[in-house]
Amino acid sequence: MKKALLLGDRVALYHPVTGVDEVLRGIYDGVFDITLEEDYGKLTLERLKQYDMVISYCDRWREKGTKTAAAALVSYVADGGNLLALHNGLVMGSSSYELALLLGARFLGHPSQVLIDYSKTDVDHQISERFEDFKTTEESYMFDFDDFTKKQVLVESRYAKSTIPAVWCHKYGWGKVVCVVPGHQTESFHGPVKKILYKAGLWFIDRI
Amino acid sequence: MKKKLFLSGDYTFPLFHPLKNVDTEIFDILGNDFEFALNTEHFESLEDYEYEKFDTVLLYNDHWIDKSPTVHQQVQSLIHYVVNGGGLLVVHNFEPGVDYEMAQMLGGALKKTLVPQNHRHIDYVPSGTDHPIMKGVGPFSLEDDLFDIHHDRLTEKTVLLNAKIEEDIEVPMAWAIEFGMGRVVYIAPGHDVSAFKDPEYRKLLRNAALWTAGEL
Repeated sequence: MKKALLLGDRVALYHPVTGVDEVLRGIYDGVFDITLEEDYGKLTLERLKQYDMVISYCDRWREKGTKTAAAALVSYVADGGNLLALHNGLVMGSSSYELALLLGARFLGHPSQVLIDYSKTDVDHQISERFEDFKTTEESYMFDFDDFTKKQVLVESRYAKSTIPAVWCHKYGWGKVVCVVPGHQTESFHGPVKKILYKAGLWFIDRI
Repeated sequence: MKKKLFLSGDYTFPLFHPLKNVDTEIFDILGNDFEFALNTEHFESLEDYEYEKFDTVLLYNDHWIDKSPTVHQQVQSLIHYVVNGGGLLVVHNFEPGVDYEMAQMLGGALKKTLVPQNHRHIDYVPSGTDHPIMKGVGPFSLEDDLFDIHHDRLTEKTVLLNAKIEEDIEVPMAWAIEFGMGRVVYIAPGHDVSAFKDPEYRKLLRNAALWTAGEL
């Protein structure tokens, strides 16, 4: 069994990890054993290296995140680690430019929840293979994307005539990063999102 | 006690920028503050984490990508080294920015060298920042390459020096970056040995090396 570290907050501003942690345990059942870490400002490279995947669902990085923890995450991925940034986990790039570079995007904000169409792009990738387009009410995150990141956009979201990357992945150093925007609450984890998350986990450990 | 510096550049088959002769000036500029713990053109032979032996790394390589297949290992090693507290000073040759992770950490990548290539008269002016690297550094002029640089908008950098292109147009030609727990400086001027003989440039280079090594 592989090991995953889930960064999140039971006492959260907007996105409590409680409930979502159970959804994730269900998705990765039999593949990853998931440990929750709420004190993520104290993360070290040595600690992170014990895990095959780190899932960021941090809701309070602006308050709890630290420069040393950001450095540990960058170093962990550069050295060959795997980072899955899920919904609010992507927001940490707004208070650490090093993490924005790692994720390939700096979070800017989002309007109220709206009905969004999610559809697969033309990119062929194991993670989005047989992805079924779907529609749901979600937050549409806006980003300032880094020009240099060699990312592959796998799924796009569409609403109000705008098209925004919703799932993307890239390699960083020896490691891998997958960013998944939908995931505001437990109800956000529709079948296609669960499949994406599951396959991202398999891609990380070279099983697909 | 002197800080330990790793210097790398190309002696044997330089494309445009031999380290030969430039190295003599670098030794002279930095010799009082640094021990040249390693001077090699074969940076690609460094093992993982070997950079951690040094207080700063000075790269003047104009061969980079062609030293594959181990070059990607150097990208990972340099990111690991800098983000965990190391110092990196890249002078003139922007070749390490070929890998996108390095371009992000360096704050940009070379788009092209603007014509006329080589030996173009350029006036360099301090940006006005109070960054310690610029303490005591005044304006200077060189015959040098003028680079068109694609800046990474997300990398937070402090511009140190601009090139005065026209009366009211200045473009960044040296900057400092705090990346994680470490420090990065890129200095664009330095095409050949004449730059390294300029008194203001020498101050800039020395301060930059000291700052990347955590000494300013």
